[in-house]
Amino acid sequence: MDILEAKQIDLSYEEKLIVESLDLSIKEGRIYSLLGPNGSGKSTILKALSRNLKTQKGTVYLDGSAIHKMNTKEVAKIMAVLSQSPQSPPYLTVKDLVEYGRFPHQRFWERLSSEDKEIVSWAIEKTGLTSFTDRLVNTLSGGERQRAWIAMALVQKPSILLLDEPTTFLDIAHQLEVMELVTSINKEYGITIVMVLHDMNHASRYSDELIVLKDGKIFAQGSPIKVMNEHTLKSVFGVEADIWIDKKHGKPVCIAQELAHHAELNDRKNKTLIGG
Amino acid sequence: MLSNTVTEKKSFWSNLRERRTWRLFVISSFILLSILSIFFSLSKGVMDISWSTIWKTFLTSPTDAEQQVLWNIRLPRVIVGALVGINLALAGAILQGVMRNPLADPGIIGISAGAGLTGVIILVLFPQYENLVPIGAFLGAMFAAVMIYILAWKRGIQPIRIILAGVAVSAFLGSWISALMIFYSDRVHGALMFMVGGLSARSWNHVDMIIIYSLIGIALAIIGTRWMNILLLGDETARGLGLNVERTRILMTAVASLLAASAVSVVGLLGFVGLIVPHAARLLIGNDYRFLVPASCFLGIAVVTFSDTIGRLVFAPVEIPVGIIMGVVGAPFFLYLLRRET
Repeated sequence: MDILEAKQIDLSYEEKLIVESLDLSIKEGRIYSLLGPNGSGKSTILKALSRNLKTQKGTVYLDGSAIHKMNTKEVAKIMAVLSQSPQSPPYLTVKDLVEYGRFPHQRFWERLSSEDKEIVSWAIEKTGLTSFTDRLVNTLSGGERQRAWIAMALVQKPSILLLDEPTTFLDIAHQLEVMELVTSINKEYGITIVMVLHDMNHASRYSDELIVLKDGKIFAQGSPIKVMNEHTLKSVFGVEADIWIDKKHGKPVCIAQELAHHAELNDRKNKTLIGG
Repeated sequence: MLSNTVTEKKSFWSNLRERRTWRLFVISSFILLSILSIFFSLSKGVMDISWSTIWKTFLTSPTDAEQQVLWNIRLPRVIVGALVGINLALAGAILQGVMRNPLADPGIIGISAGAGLTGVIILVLFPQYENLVPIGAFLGAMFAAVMIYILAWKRGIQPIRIILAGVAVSAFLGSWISALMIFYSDRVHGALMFMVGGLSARSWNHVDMIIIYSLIGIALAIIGTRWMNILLLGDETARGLGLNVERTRILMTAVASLLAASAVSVVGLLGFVGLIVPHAARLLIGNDYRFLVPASCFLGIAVVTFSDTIGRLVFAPVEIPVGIIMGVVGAPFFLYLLRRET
């Protein structure tokens, strides 16, 4: 069954229509990556799925119910959202931050129960932050900080987790670390993952399905092997790319060689040379 | 942590470094400061009253002149000052959170001016409804807040635009107050006092006028601490956690308006309290509203009652309104914060 579904949604920013009549379906327990060039609407779509942006037309359904008609706290028990470069107020420790994740489960006069506290320390352990529990979030490195935010999302005990470019601003090692963490959350707890990614190879390696966007429309959706090919990279990103299957993971890997219109120019130049 | 497993006797100072102990220590200090300021204010003035007489007055009914001064003049003034201190400090603390701007103070961004305008309109045109001044002031404050939001809104809340819009709203509404005061100068007593904010001649009537609204505002501020903490994480994260961001923002702005309005109803346009107090508290204990709210309350009491007493004493028998003292201290502090933020 679809845990998250968009039916015929129109999305716009300040009168400008960015996405028109989009249908999207997210199946439970899988990892999805939204890919596309800048301005293709991937972050906009994620904002709509996470109820951070109202749809002009159409409806987003979470677990079968129209999301904008649901109680927002009920939504937060099913869906956790990690926005792009979230800001932590100063003076907040990892533990403080992660505890906020219990907010949707508490009534406003309730304090943290022992069960809440258990869940908090479980999430801190799961994200490898046990030795950072009392550290201020602001003093952590980018990768540790991102893990703290993921821990907060885990504490919500969601069925689905949305992440907007979780690896931006991280170095290679921390990027891998975050991707591995996200994957293990999916494998161990069956939490559905939907993320916006810039890195094609990460998306290919860690996702069950890629959703490739172009001009606010889905250009292709399917397994990495099916979707990631020369045609997609050329028509969506405008690059000529070499693609092969990486033996270790059995997933396609790409290297962008040159801009497609440059390649055409070169072709033409060669032809005229030969012709001349 | 390793150090916790080691069984060593911790010194007072190393204990203090633990955040929980430290926060409780700071709040306790503020409580002590507020009590000292209150006693200082009660005992000092044209007539110095000993602390033992102060105790006696509370225990027995007032009889002699000293006790009359204490009971009918100083005590109501101190209570009004304390309530105003709490109200303005909390209003500032809340506005800084909901408007995402550390410079948001009910005086600076015009919420006090909105409260003042409707308050003055009632006093001047419908003096028979004087006891409705706090409600009128609340509506005026809300009106100013709505104006600020509308002017400052562009793809969400823009902190800089809040201040710019607030200054404009403040100037606009303030000029209407001045105009009313000129046209009805015969009906407005202590117009100057109202414009700078002062506690001169505040009596039990004034305590009665605002006590209910203040208590409601304080209670709502305490209830709202958790929402404020979630809101500090940013709109998107707060929404992701299941906070109704728009509703919270409107509700807490209303709470801040109620608090500011009840202060303005009795002291006029007293500025900078909502800026100085929450920031001093923030510097010491951080942004967590569960601690910031009580800390601001007690520091607010201390700052306003102490400044008012100083104002009474320095050029006695001439009184300097507390608003002038707050301005002298507050304006440089505002500039300091402005430099630190940008």
